[in-house]
Amino acid sequence: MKNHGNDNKLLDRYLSGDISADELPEGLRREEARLRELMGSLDEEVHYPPALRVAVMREVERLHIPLWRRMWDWAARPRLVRVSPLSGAALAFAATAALIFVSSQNPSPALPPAGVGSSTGGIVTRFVFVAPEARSVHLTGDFVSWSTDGIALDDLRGTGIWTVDVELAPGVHEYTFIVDGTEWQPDPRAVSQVDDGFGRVNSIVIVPGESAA
Amino acid sequence: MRLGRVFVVAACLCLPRGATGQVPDFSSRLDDATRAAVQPTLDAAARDSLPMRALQSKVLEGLAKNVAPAQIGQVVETLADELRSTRAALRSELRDVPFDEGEIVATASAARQGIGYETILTLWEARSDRQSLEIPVTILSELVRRGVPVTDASALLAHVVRTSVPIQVAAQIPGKFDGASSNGAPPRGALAEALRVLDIPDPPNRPVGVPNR
Repeated sequence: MKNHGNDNKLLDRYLSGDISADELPEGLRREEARLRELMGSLDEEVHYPPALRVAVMREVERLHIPLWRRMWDWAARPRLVRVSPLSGAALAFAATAALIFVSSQNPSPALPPAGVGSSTGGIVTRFVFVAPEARSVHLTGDFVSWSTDGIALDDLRGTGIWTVDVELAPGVHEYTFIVDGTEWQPDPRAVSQVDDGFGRVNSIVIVPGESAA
Repeated sequence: MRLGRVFVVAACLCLPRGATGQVPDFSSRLDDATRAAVQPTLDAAARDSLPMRALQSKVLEGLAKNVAPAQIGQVVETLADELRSTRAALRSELRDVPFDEGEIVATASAARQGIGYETILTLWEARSDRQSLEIPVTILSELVRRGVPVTDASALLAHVVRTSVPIQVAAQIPGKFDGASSNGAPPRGALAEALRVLDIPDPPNRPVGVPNR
């Protein structure tokens, strides 16, 4: 006990810097040397294989990041892509062509397919037909290649006034109405009626563009 | 090689579907009897570069109206002859001027009403740019159909074309004429009233019979 008391006092003085390690008793000096060796090993830089770091980090990412986030990160990560000017022009040309093709293959369902103006060049034209007793009224003409399905008019208020708005290409068009699926009738409100050559009458609609005469 | 394929595909996609001036899916809508009745006429028309869309549209119109194939063939042949004569007449006077399909069809319709080609050609002489004359020629036809003397109507339309009256305004002339006519005005008076309502300036050398405003 007594020795332990002396040892503690000597240790206090050593740790306080009052005495050097050489002045410690031999037992304490050996312990001090072992302690210094241990402390020194803690200060050394740890070296491990680079592959280990990559593998560990990959595993950590896989375990903790959701799939959608990892896909997003992959897609959003900038990359250096080498493209020749000619290839770039070809790709841009192909993309533009594909857009044109897709848009031409999927016209707006509200618009009839042929002879009808595009969204940029067409003029919205209203057709009105009064038929209080009719169950259905359809519009057909050269702008829909005379399809008997035509374009359905609506009697929204049940008053017998059937209407439809159609986007037509600028120019002069011939048309007629089909009442109840069988009865072909010209438009009494049309600017003109013309002989259709088949013994009936077509109506005329003039669709002006936005230019001068 | 792959780049070449991209160009070829893109070029094919970029071809406008209506580039050939034909009705889409025309052939598939013909039955055998109608095809036999109209094919010789259509083949000859194609060789002569006539407006194919107008001819095909007339065929489809006949089919939609359940007209007998032989009659469809006759009507289409007559129309093709009219278009051929019209195109030849225009070409003989205006050798270097390209005509659009609407202009040829409208001129044929005007000629059908007895309006001479030399009268119709005054509209081309009045034109200073490449605006289509389909609508002005149609308005000329409509005025003559309503009883306006050919000289009056052609002088007015030439003036409308020469002074670049907006086509939206010019297209209203027949309707305004009808409004005045329904109030009892004679053709020349109704025409003068239509011009007054639409604020279209008087043509110089205004035809006799059009009252001063």
